[in-house]
Amino acid sequence: MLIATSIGMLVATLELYRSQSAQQALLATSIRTSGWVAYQAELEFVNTHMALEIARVIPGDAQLADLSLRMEILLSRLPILYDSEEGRMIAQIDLFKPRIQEIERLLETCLDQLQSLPPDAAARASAVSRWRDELEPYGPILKTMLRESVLFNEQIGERERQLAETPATIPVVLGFGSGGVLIMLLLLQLRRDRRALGEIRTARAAQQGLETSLKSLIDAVPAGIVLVRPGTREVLFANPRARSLIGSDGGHPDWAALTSAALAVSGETESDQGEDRKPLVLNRPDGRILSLLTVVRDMVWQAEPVKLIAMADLTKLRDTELQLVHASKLASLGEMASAIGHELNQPLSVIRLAAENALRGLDRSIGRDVTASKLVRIVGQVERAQRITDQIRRYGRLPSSQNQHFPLRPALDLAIGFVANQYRLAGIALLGSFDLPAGIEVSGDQTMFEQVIVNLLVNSKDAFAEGPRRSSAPLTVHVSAKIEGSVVAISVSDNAGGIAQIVLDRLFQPLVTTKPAEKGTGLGLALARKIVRDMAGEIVGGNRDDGATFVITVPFQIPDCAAPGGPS
Amino acid sequence: MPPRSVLICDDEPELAEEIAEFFIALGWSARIVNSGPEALRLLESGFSPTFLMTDLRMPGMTGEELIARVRRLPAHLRPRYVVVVTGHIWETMTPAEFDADRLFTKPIDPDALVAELDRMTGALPAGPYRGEAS
Ligand SMILES: Nc1ncnc2c1ncn2[C@@H]1O[C@H](COP(=O)(O)OP(=O)(O)O)[C@@H](O)[C@H]1O
Ligand SMILES: [Mg+2]
Repeated sequence: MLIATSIGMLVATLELYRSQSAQQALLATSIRTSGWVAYQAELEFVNTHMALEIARVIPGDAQLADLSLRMEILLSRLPILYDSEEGRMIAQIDLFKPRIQEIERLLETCLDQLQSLPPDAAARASAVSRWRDELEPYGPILKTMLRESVLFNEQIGERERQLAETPATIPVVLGFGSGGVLIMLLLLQLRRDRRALGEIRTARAAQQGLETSLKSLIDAVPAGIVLVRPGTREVLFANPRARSLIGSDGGHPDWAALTSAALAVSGETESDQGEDRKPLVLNRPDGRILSLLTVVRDMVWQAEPVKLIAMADLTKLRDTELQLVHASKLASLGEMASAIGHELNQPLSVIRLAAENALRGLDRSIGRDVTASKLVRIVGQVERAQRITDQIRRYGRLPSSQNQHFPLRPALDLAIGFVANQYRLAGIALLGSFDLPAGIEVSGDQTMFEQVIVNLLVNSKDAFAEGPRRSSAPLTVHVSAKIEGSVVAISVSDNAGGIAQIVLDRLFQPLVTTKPAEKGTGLGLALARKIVRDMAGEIVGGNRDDGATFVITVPFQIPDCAAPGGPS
Repeated sequence: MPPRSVLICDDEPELAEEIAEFFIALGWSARIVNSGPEALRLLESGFSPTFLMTDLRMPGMTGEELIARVRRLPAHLRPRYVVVVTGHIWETMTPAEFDADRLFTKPIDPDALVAELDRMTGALPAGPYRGEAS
């Protein structure tokens, strides 16, 4: 009975071992190069473990010879973990090294003792059991290393863990004794394993499909993408955009400059969220200076851990922003063209009639002072027309790229002056309350800042024209400015019914508008945010009471004044 | 020719003044107001001019609103003709859109204006402005 059980167990154990090896081998092909060494060590550890189990049950010469071979192989694998090029890539390998060396010493002792084992089966079995118990605790180390070294496919990783844990259950089951139950359990395990094998194949197919889609995606994106082998910095792949940015194919020295610069700026502060985008300036051999924004990420490419460098061309971006500014200005200038035309026709009418009246007065030889008063009036109207054209000129001027200090109050007055007549004609009260220290200055491009205020005021004016209002209060827009700690807060609020829900959370995105095409561009607020941010400030908007409120906060200075503070 | 009169409504005082002066020099009687409600008050008080000449864009009451209100006045209080003078730069406007008899755009050519008004009084039968009484 005992012999039958033992043979049954042996057969079952060998079956289990074979199926595990097959699965491990399959896993090995999917893991391939990356973590290969860690995987080999782990595989040999499992094999040694199995040899120990077998030799413990049947401590014959053949089994001990097999065990000795397994231990030798494992011993040869271990130093590769910390001594080879590939092994060095395992995360925190230096921390693992002392523990690995402990395993090596343990194996050497076992091998020594194996040479001089007594022929007595019971003594042999107890020696093998002792070795197994001593080696067992090191299993998790190798497993951890393997996991660290490879980016597992979710399913393969799960299956791997299951496989690695299975050997540990065998001794427990053996301890229970009954051969029949054991064999049944083992057969069940075999069935499960066969099913799992199918799952692994499917997972691998899915992984390959994913890699193909990933490649076509990377080819298509407008950002430059380069895959680099971490140690050697060899360029493994570059998408068309990256090739056109650098202007040559991989392997060229320019690429080395790019990849090492990108990896260097990405540095140690590699984090996977938010602000890890690093600006990078690159001199191309043709004299072009590229200003790139780079992101570096770890990823697995064809089963190998690589660095992915993504880069956006900032010079291009800057151009686009400038175009946006221009488009927006032209558009709002168009919006205002009719108002401007109307305003210019006003002084022209007065001039025309005053000149006519003066002329007729001359005919009827009316007093010189009457004629003189007409001429004074004409000069006044010409000045008025000139103020209008000046405003348009200010508005149309190109923005300067440098920030300059400018006095806040006159800028606000100019912006308000620009829309004042439109407001008057629309019957909207435009109230200002400024609680500012004398001479307060902010830093930026004055005309751009004025444009931000004009945009807000035009938006409020449009809002009154747009929909039915809930309140019957007089149409009012309030512009206020006051110090709030280290910034000055400029707010524009109206009682025109508020911002529509559908645009509320996308207000500052370009091309978001509720207005008809001839009136709105959806660029006003997008541009406002850009301009205010260029001034190191922020703009927010939302609904309050019965209307919209926009608040700009920007840093300020007070020239010839000790400390920026509240108004005295 | 009986003395003709004009009520000039423009929120731009200097312009209103110059127009008035121009007509006065031609022997017309002219009154100036700077807003729609003022014009209505003057008309309601019995000043019944040959022409009401009004701007369109004015704060408070627009020219269109003024004309609509004028049309609802009793016949004897209405001006004979309503003329719109506007600084709008659209070229497609017609006087009918504002229910006016004529439409002039700023800057006004005074001689053309007067010639046209003369033509109107000469060519059109005398009588109150043909607005529909409500
Ligand atoms: N004061 C306001 N009241 C209500 N809605 C507003 C106000 N300001 C902005 N909005 C909304 O935000 C949208 C975007 O504004 P903006 O970026 O200036 O573009 P645009 O004015 O050309 O539409 C507007 O179309 C409007 O729906
Ligand atoms: Mg706008």
